[in-house]
Amino acid sequence: MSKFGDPGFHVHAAIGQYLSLLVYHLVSDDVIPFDLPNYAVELRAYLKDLSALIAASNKTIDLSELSGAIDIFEKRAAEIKEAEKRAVALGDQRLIKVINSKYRDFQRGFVSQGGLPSREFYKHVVTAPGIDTGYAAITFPGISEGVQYGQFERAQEWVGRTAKGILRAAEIIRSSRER
Amino acid sequence: MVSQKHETDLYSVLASWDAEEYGLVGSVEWVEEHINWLKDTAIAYINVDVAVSGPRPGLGSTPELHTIGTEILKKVIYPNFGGFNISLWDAWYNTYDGKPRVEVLGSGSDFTAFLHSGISAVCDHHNPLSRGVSKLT
Repeated sequence: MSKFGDPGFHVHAAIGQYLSLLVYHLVSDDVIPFDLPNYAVELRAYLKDLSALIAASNKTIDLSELSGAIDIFEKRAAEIKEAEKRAVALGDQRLIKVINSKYRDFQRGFVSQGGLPSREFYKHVVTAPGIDTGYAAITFPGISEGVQYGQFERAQEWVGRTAKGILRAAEIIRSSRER
Repeated sequence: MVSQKHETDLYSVLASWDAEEYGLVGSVEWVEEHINWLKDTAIAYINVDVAVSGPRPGLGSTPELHTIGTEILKKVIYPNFGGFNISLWDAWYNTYDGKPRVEVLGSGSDFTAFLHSGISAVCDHHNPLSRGVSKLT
């Protein structure tokens, strides 16, 4: 490292500064610096990839439940971002605390549907290491791998479970005033 | 392991894991041991595995951390090896030939048990493209 990788360890110092700043903001900011609307943007992108994968398989899988769940998550994410702006503008500490708890908890929804087929340790419905992809991720793993390995019934079942995981996350960030 | 109490009611916990290469043994056992505490209180997990392995920085994270994770890149000066100063963000941008992306988290490092317990995660993937190359060779 001192000879070829990073002589003088200057890159190490820069990365150290970066990680320290990241931890500092996560621990010290009044509002946890999460961007939930971006989660909705990413879910849409993964849905697009999944639709392309299904189109290439010449089978049909009904994704309406998943796409409906993403619509609801997107709406809830926009609502909580607005609530965050309002709470900061008004200096409303009680509301900030509520929003922080929701930011802390929303991801628990994505792991609420039990383990993925044949590897129960992995529970995230949005991302997991693929069975044949080494380190690399596969998105909507329950559905994508069902399609990849020709198990279309399983893929259809996981459309429902994936949607339920996303709806659970959306429910966690829902304002108690929205009905 | 060191715990540091800040002025807010949040803690940062610094941990070092054993037996990563053998199958993430240390971190998985620790998450299983402390799962109730983590599910009640954990906000995010920062993974530092290959923090630096060459000149090209890279980053993977859950999507709600993309914004803060890339904004902070702009605040750090990158050692530009004798050239004009650039930011860490510039160096990250150059890694991807002008089409920068935050990687989707798969596995292969200790964030796995945290991510699959529903905890936000960031992984500092230095030299991310080398992984693509090693798969081909």
